[in-house]
Amino acid sequence: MLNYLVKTIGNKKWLWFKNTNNYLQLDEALFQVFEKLEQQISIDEVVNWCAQIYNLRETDARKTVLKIDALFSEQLKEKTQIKKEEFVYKVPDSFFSSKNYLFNDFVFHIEYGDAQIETMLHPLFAHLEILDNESANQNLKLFFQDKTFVLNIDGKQIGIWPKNEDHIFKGQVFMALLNATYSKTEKDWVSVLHASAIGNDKSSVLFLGDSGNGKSTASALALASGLQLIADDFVPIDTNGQVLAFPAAISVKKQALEFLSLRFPELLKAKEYELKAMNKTVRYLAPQRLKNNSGRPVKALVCIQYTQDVDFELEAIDIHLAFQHLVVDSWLSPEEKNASFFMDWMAELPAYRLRYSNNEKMIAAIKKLLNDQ
Amino acid sequence: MKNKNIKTAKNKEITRKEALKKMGTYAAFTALGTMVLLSPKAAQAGSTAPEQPRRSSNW
Repeated sequence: MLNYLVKTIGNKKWLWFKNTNNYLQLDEALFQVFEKLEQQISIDEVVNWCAQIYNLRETDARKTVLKIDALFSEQLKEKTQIKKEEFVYKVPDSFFSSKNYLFNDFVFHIEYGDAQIETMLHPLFAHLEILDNESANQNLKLFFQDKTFVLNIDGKQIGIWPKNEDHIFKGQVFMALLNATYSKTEKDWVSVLHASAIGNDKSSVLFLGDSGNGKSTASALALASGLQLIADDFVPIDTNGQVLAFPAAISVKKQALEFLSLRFPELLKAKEYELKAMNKTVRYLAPQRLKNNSGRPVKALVCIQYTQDVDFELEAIDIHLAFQHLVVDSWLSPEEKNASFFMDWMAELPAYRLRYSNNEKMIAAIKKLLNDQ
Repeated sequence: MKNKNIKTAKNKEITRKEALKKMGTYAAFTALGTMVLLSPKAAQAGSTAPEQPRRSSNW
């Protein structure tokens, strides 16, 4: 049985490795060398074949073959499973705070073990808080004990993470909320993208971009112009390639505050939080409540960038580059069928680079992409 | 002196390689083209939750 998948996308091959959940993009000629090595042909023979077919010097051919051999060996190596004995942590007798949140007719009761854990999550969901003590559909206890984060759901310890894996702990809490809301498990998601999803009732467009490029600001502008914010920063894609809504608030950086508060005056009164690791200060803007929480197909990927010296510019970009950008910045399911689907899904998506300083033109372009057949 | 320079250059190369790996990308250039290895993130959550320094001795 193969422990990798191969897709031909344009002039390249995209591979996915089961043992590492890594992806590889490579030229056809390099893949042919790998195929030879897979057939158990000796390195020397492959070097000779390569030198002859591609008219290379023997030293260049050898270097190439050895590089391919080393890279593939590393990716195809069987993972040694280290069985961790999981210690069951004692649930604290009392918690720092507890809150109820309502999303999609589902009530979550979350108990925070301390102020730090509350601050890690609550500002993102504060707009969903309900004060009445309705009976919750799910009870989450989040606490930190013996330098370890613990997630307990409905009395069961779901996972533990060391102090330096706070981002994984946070991701698992988000995932738990997502799964409960849509009655799914982790295997039912192809990916969770670090992007923003903007849409209407029928479709969506994904904004990609490095932190600081203005993804969230563009999302807030889209929201102000009547479009819907489906998800910001945590964009779940299901096994049909559709985006599902996730109601976390949009983070608004200090630089965008003055400008966005003209459209969202509530930001002026919003509490300010310091993201020390990222050296920035943010406030949170609640997204609107969507009437329709069903999945929306993705019409396009848009690498968005606010650039003062460009009025408006939209150009198609190479899907291989868009793929690189998306993969390294997102969580992708380690399930084989999901990895296969993800590559097919990505390969079909139109990808653009949008640079702008003219907000109206940016919004008009997004609306056009959403409505394009 | 010469050796020292070589060492510095090597160190720089390692740092660049490590930085790329950290970003989840590793590119290998060969006579027949390029291979780009991409590693997805281990966490599902985005990067925008606030943080506070831990005050308790537990940290």
